Amino acid sequence: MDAKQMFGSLATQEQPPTTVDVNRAMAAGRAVRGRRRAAVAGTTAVITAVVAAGMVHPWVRKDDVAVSATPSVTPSATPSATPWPTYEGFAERKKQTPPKGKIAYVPPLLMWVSDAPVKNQLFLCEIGPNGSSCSGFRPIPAKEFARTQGKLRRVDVWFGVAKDAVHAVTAVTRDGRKVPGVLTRGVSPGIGLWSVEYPPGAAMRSLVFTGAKGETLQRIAL
Amino acid sequence: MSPDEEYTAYVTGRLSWLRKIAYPLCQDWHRADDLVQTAITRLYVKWRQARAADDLDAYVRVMLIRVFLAEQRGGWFSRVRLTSAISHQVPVESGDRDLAMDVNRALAAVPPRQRATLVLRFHCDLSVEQTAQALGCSTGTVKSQTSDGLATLRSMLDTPKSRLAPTEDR
Repeated sequence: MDAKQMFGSLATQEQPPTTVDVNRAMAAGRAVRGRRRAAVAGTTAVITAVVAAGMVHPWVRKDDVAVSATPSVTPSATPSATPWPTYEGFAERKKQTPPKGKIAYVPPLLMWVSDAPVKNQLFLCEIGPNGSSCSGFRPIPAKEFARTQGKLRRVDVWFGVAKDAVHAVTAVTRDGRKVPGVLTRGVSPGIGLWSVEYPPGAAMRSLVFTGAKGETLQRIAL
Repeated sequence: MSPDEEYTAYVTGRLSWLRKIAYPLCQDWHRADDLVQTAITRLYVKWRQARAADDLDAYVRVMLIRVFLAEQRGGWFSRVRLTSAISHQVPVESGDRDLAMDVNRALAAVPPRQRATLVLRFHCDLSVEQTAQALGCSTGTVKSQTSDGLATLRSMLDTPKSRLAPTEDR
């Protein structure tokens, strides 16, 4: 018996009834296609958000002039006080502390909210010019609307969390100048994330959080 | 005819052929069904590219072989039975059954990649070049895998070298 005959003997064996189901394959295939589409859409959305935010948001220059950045796909071509971060380690950080909701682009940071290992706390994770970090925060009390979470070292940026009632954030310098910040609402249910990048060396007096009609909701002295 | 209808018509018509390729790879009709089920699921995902292929049968055959080899690389714990109902083997003549059992035992002793090479070469009647293309390796690798696989089969079946397929390709 040669090899062909041997395989031939297997082929001539009567096949038992098959359990292969074409409809199930189609359903599973559709699910795979859907997951791939969702993954591609998600990645595209994040990239688009990052690029669009860089192009549209007012960007404070070193000379303290708020400008709309020139539309450009090349981040380095965008005028900015802080060099465009590379967001190195973003994937790793996101894997360790998965976002609970959206990822906000609040220049120069990418921020998101994640579940904290401590009860009744959430993590605010950020990645930017100084690398990445996560720090816990408790729910904002009923009387308050926003809270500072920290200030970046060597970079003039304050950042924090705000309730959804907050529609804008502005920093006020000691000499009375106003520096607009960037706020992304609804990052996680009821939570917005903000950042303010102010002119290097400027003495900051306070942060002002305003509502939908421009009314002042809260001031935080710095 | 919509793409889904085309897919259904093609798969329904080629199901038996696919099972006949899958069976010598794994020597178990239930596992063969699992392999075929996974392969046709992947085929559905890639149907747009597959239907444009020059040789759709070759495309699907490669898919099936890759599903088999990928399953071998994964641990036993990652193998999933895709069926809930288990059918019973159809009884065969006792002489055929003995032969089939011997062949299955011998094939099971052949490493998976060599087994895939033998199936493509002798069951699917592919040339060395076609087999190399399907497995994504060189023709030299196909020849050596064929030779090694046949040697294992010979030793398992106690068949003299001259009686099993010649290995003049090498």
